[in-house]
Parts: sequence; C-alpha cells; structure tokens
Amino acid sequence: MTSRRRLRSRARTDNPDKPTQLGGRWATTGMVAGIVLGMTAGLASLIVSVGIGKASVLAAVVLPVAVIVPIVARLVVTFMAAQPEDRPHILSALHDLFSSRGPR
Amino acid sequence: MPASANLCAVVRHALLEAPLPAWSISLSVTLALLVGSACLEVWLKYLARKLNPEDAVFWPTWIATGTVAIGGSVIDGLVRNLNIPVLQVVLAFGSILFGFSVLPKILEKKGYDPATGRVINWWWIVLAHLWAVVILLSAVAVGVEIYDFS
Repeated sequence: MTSRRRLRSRARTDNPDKPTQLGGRWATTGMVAGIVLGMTAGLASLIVSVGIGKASVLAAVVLPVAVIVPIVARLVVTFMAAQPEDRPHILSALHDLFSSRGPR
Repeated sequence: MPASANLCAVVRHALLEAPLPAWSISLSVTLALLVGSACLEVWLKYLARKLNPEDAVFWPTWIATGTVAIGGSVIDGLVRNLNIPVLQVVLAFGSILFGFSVLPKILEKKGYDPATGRVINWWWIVLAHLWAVVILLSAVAVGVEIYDFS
C-alpha cells in the first residue's frame, strides 16, 4: 500500500464521515477543471459558429441576462410567497436597499 | 396610405423580408428561451401552489432545453441530409457532458443543503445559470447553422 493510500485509509477509519484532505483537494481540483473545461467547450462551440467578435457580443448580452433573471425571479417569488401583511415591509426593505440612503 | 399601414409595412419588412444575420437570430432565440421559460415556469407554479425561493432556479430547465434543442437539430439534420457543423456539435456536446456530470456534483457539494435540498449558497446557483446559458447559447447557434436561417 502506498503512503497516500495508507493515509486515506487511516483517515477514513478514524472518522468515516469526514472526507480526507487528499480527497478534498482532488475534488476541488476536479470541480475547477470541470467548470473551466465545460464553459470553455461551450464558448468554443459558439466562437467557431459565429466568430469571436459576434460571440463576444452574444456573451456580453446574454450572460448578464442569465444573472439578472434568477435574481429578479427570487425577488418576485419572495414577494409572492410572503404573507400579505408582510409585503409592505419587503417593499420598503427593497426600497432602502436600492435607494441612495442605504438600509436604515 | 395611412401612417399606421406604412408603419406596419416597415415592421413587416424588417421582421420577415429583410435578411437577418445568423448571430442576431441566435441572440433573439436564446433571449426568448431564457426569459420566456423563466416567466412561464414561475407563473405556472404560482397558479398551482404557493411559491418558495427554490422556484427562482432555472438552470435545469435551460440545460434541458439546450440539450433537447441540439439533439433534435442534429437528428433532423442527419435525417434530412442538412449541413451539420461537426466541430461545433462536438464542442457543444462536450459542454453538455460536463453540465450533466460535474455541475450537479458541484451544486450537491456547494450549492444545496443535502439534508433539506434547499439552496444554501446563491453564488453557486448563479454560476450554474451562467453555465446553463453558455450551453443554451451554443446549442441555439449550432441549430441556426444547421438550418441556415441567415
């Protein structure tokens, strides 16, 4: 058994629920690599399809929309899910949040 | 000719007769899918039951829409002998593959509470939406190229 495997095996025996240091590091590396590869493949497909200039315009328009839509939807959903007597408080909190005075 | 009829003719010409570049069609279709699916999904859920914060999550819908769209376009293109851009399709399917494998595992670890299934970190959910829109955009661009809408 190599030293790494022995380390992982000992860590699992001590606390089976706790992930090992090695596993955590590899998992993080895999996640970051997956994000980079996945997004790069999608953007590369777009760039090959329409060219880098048009792809930049498309991404510059669509990516902010993809961020704004769930945020707006969350505000709407929170407002609709609240009890009617709580809705004025949500509106005033939002007003404070977006006004120049900041939250009170 | 009245002014309204003149305006109608101008709009009809701009929408139907004037040639539109492929990238503007891709942009319009993607934006319509993004905003339209989000609004209709929330509206249908609102009609059926009380809303909760998890109803503001659309990345599964967008990834599923992009996957079905590109799959349908490629199958139809193969059946009808249309021009299929192989490199673009392979890259788009690569992004879809990662979207179906890595993304749910990341969200399982970082975005959602495993016990309740509720969102615990909205930044990872925003990242998932960005990835989903890249998949959808590349799928729509491939579809526009297969059907040669320009």
